[in-house]
Amino acid sequence: MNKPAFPNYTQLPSRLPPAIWWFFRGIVLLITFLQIYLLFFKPEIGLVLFWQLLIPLLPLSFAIVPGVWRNICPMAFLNQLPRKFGISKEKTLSENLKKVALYTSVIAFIVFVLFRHPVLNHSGVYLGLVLLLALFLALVGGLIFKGRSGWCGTFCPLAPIQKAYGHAPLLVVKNGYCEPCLGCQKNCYDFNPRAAVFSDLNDPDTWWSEKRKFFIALLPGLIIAFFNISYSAEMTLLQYLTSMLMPMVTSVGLFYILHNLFNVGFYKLASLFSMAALSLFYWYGTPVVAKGIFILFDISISEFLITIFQYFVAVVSLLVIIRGLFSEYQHKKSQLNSTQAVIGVGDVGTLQSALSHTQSLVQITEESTGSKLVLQPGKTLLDAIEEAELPIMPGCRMGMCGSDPVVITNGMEGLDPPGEAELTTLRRLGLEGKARLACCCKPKKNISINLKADLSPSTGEEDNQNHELEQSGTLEENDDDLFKIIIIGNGIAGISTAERLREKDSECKITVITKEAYPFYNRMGLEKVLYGRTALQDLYLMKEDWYKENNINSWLNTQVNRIDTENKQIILAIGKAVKYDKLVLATGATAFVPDQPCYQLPGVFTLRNADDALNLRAWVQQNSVKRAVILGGGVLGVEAIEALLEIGLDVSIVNTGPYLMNRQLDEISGDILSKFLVNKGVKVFTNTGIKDIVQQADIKQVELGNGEILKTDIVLLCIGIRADIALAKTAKLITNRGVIVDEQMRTSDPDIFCVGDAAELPDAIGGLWAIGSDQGKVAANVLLGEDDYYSTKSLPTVQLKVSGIDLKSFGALKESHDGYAINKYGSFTGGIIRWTYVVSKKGVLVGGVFVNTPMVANNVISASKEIDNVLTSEELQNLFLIDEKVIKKGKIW
Amino acid sequence: MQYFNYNQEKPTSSVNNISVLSGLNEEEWEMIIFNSHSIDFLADEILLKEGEVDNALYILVSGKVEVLSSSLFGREKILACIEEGSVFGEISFFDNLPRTASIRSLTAGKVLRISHKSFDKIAAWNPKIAQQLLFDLGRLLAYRFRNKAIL
Ligand SMILES: Cc1cc2nc3c(=O)[nH]c(=O)nc-3n(C[C@H](O)[C@H](O)[C@H](O)COP(=O)(O)OP(=O)(O)OC[C@H]3O[C@@H](n4cnc5c(N)ncnc54)[C@H](O)[C@@H]3O)c2cc1C
Ligand code: SF4
Ligand code: FES
Repeated sequence: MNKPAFPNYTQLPSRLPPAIWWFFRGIVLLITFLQIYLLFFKPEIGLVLFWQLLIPLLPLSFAIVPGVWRNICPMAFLNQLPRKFGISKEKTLSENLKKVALYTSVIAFIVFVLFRHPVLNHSGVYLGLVLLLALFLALVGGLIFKGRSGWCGTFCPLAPIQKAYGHAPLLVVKNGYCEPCLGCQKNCYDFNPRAAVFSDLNDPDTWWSEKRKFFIALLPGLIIAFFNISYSAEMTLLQYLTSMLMPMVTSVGLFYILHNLFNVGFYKLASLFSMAALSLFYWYGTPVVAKGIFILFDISISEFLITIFQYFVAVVSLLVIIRGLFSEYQHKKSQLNSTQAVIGVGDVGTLQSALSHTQSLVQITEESTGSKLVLQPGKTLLDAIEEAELPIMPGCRMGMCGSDPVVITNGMEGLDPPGEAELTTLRRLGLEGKARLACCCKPKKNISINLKADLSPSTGEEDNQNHELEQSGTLEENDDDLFKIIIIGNGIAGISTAERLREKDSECKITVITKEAYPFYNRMGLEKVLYGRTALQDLYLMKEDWYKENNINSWLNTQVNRIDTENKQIILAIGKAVKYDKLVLATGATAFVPDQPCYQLPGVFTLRNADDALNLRAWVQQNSVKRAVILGGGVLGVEAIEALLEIGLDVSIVNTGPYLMNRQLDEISGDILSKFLVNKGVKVFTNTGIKDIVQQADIKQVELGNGEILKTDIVLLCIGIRADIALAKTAKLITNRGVIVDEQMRTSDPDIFCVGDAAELPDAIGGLWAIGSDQGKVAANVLLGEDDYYSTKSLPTVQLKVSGIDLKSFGALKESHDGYAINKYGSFTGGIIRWTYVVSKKGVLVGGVFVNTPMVANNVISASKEIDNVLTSEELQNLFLIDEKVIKKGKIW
Repeated sequence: MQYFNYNQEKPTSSVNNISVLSGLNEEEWEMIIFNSHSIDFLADEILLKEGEVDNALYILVSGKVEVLSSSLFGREKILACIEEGSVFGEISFFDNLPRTASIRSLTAGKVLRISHKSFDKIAAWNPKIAQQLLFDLGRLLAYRFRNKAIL
C-alpha cells in the first residue's frame, strides 16, 4: 500500500515498543515531581532549571517531533492512567464543552505567560502550585472524559502552542495511547498530526477555524512583548497589560492585513507566523538559556555557539514552513484527485433498477479481447458487438449481405437456427455451419464468440491493380461445345444468379462481366467508405478465390457496349465480341442526376458505387469540406447523414416530400425520425426541393424552392435511382423505367434475362438487395429449365441503417380507406419513443412501420412471412402483447 | 474533514463531490442504458488503463474501484477509491487524449460505458439529459480548474 500524504496514527509505523514509551513516561513524571520539589524547596535552582532549561526545550521539539512530547508528557500520562486502568467515566465531551475547551486552553496559556514577569518567573511556590494544578486537572479530565478529550488537545494550555509550532511536523511519531481511537475530539492532533492544524484552519465551521488562526496570529507579538518588556514591579497593571498586549494586537492585525491585502492564504500565514514566533523565541531565548546553563552547570556558552543555534532554529523554522507548504499542496492535490462526479444515492438506486429491467441475463464473451457483452432484450448480437465498439462492419442488418459473419465458439446450440436469408448468405460465403451472421442472432443463452477467427472474405492486403490479374478464364471461343452464360453486372443480382447456376450445373460456362474495378462488394455499406479506415476492403463479400473455386470467369473493369441479339454476342468497349447462349442483365441502377447544369458542378456527388464513395471521400479531404447538403430525404439520403456527421460535417437534408422517408413511413414515424436527426444537429427541410445551386468562390449556395438559401461545400444527390437500361435498349428489349420482365425474369428476348435493380416487374417493389438476390436465383433456375417464379407476395423490409434508431418499414402503407385497417401504438418513455403502425386488410398484413420496437417488429415481419401475410387481428394483437415493457398501448407525445 | 474518519473505513471521498444526472427517473435511465453499454466486472480487473486511447465515460453502477496512477519510478500510486455512483473517464471523454489514470476494481460490479456514439444517441433522444450531463461534468472540471489555479 502506498504512503498516504496525511497518514493517521494507525497508518504510522511504531518507532519504539510500547514498554519503552511507558518507561520514558515514568522517568518524565519523576523528573516533573523532582522539578516541583525543587520549586518548592530549592526555588533558586528549580526556577532556573524550569525556565531556562526545560521549558526552552519544548518549542523546538514541538516543531521537529511533536509526537515525542505528546507521548511522554506527564500531564498526558496522568490523564491516560484512568483509561489504562479502565476507571474513566469515558464521558463524551459535548460540542459546547469542545468550544469552551478551545477558549480556556488559549486563555490559560496567555494568562500563564502574562503571570510570568510578575509572579511565576521568581516564585517557585506559585509555579509549583500551578504545575500541580495542571497535573491534577489532567488526571481529573482523564477520569471523566473519554480518550484524551479531558485534557490533551482540549483543555491543556500547552496544546495550542504545540499545534502552532507542530502544524507541519518534520517527523511524526505514532500516538502511543489511543488503541483504539474513540473519536473523542475534533480534528485530533494525536489521530492525524499532519492534518490536524490544517483541518482546523480549513474547517467549514469558521468559529472553530477563527480561534485557531487568532491564536497563531498573536504568537509572534506575544513573544516580542514578553522578551522586550522592561518589567519592573513599579509598573501599573494598565502599563503592564498595554505593553504586553499591544504587540499581540499588532501581530494579529498584521496577520489579517496580509491576508486581506495580499491574499495570502490562512494556512501559509499561520505557518509563517508560528515559525516567526519560534525563531523569535530562540532569538531572544538562547542567551537566556546559555545563562541558565552557566548558573546550573558552570559551563559558559560562547557567543558564537549562541548565534549558530539561533540560525539553526531559523533553518528549522524554514524547513517547517516548507513542509507545511508541501502538505498544503498534497492536500489540494488529493482533493482534486478525489473530487468526483457522482450520481446521488437515490439516483443510483433508480439506475440499478432500470438496469435490472433492461438487461437480459444473456452474456456474450468475445474471446479475442476477453470482453463480456451484455445483450439487451430484443437486440441482436450485432447490436451488442457494436455497442461494445468491437470491430464489425455491418451492411444490411438483415442477413442479406453477409458482412458480419461471426464464429460462435461456444453455445451455438442456444441459437435459433438460421432463417432462409441468413442461410443463403452463409452458403454464398461458404460459412454454413461455421459461423452466424450477427445481425440475425438473438442469443437466448450465454455464448462465446471470436471476432478474430479467420473468416475474412478478402485478405485485406489486395489492392485494386491486382484485380485485373485475378481475372480468370478466357473470352476466346475455344470451348464452343459448352453452354455459355454471360452475366453482365457483378452486384448481388448477378452474383446470386451465377452462384445458383453453378450450384445446380457444374458444366456450363459462366462469365460475369462488370465495368467496376472491384470484386463483389457490399453496396449497402458504401457510406462506411466515407469514414472507415480500410477503403473498400471491409466491404468485399466474397472469399478472394470464390470465382476461381466455382469455375466462374470474372471480368472486372470491362464495359459492355452493345448487345447483338442477332448473332447472340455482346460487344465490349475494347472492341471485342463475345458469344453467349443465354445472357443475364444484372446491370443494376445508377443514381439519378437531373440534367440542369447546376448538378454537374464539381462538388455535387452521388452515392451509388464504390468510386462515388472514394471520390467523395477524397474531395472532402482535399477541399477541407465543412458543410454538406443532402438532396433527397429517402432511405439513401437519411442513411448518408450518419457518415457525413461522422466525418465532422454540418449536414442539411432537403426533401420534397412532407416528411423524411415519406415513401416508407407514416407521418408520425417520419416526425420521430426528423426529431431524432434534428437533435443530432442535422437541419431538416421538408416540403421543398432545390431550385438552383450557385457556385460563389469556394462556396455553393443552394437555393431551395421555398426561397431559403443554404451555404454548403458539397451537395449529395439522393433523389432516386434509375434502372440501368442502356444495354437493354441496344438489344431493343421492351423497357419502361426498367427492363420489363415476367415472373420468371425473362425479358422480351427469349435468351435474355434481367434481374435486380435493372429489372421492372410490373406492380412489384424494386430497388432492394433482397429482391436482386431472390430474382437471381429464379433466373438461374429458369435458365436451367426449372419452372420457378419470383413471388411478388413477399414484403421486402427496409431496415434503416442509422445507429441509435431502430426503424423498419415493410410492405405498402396505404392511406386509411376502404377495407384497410390501420393500427397504431406508441409510447414515450424517458426519451425513447416507440411507435408501431401496421396496415392490414381483412386480417392480411400489407405493411407496417416500427420504430424502436425490436421484438414486436421482428415478430410481425417473420410472422408475416411464415403465415403468408395472413394475420388475424387477434394474432396481430397478440404480437404486440409479447413484451409489455417494449410497447405500451397508448398515445405518443 | 476527510482525514478524520475515526472509524477507520477505507477512505472514500464524499466531501467535494459534484452530483451528476440527479433526479432522472427510471425511464430516462432506461433510455441512457439502451444507448450505452453495460459491462460486468470481477474484483481486481483493470477497467481503464493509463495511457490507453479511449474516450468513453463510465458510470459505476455497483461495486468499488480504485484510481491508480503510475508515479515517476513506475510504482503505482492509489489516488482514490471510488464507490458506486461515481463517474469516471471524464477527462478523456472531453479531450480524446490518452487516459490519465488507471481504474482497477476492488470488488465485482457493473459499469455503464457511454461512448461518444452513445452520447450522441442519448443527445438525439433527449437533448436535455445530454445537456445536463455536460453541465454537470463541466462543473467538475471548473472546480478542478479553479482549485488547480490555487495550487
Ligand atoms: C448506399 C446504398 C445503400 C443501400 N442500402 C440498402 C439496404 O439497406 N437494403 C436494401 O435492400 N438495399 C439497399 N440498397 C440497394 C441495393 O444495394 C441494390 O438494390 C442492389 O445493390 C442491387 O443489386 P443489383 O445487382 O441489381 O445491381 P448493382 O449492385 O447496381 O450492380 C450492377 C452492376 O452492373 C454493372 N454494370 C452496369 N452496366 C454495365 C455494363 N454496360 N457493362 C458492364 N457492367 C455494367 C455496374 O457497374 C454494377 O457493378 C442500397 C444501395 C446503396 C447505393
Ligand atoms: S480522537 Fe482518538 S486519537 Fe485523538 S485523542 Fe481521542 S482517542 Fe486519541
Ligand atoms: S448480413 Fe448481417 S449486416 Fe448484412
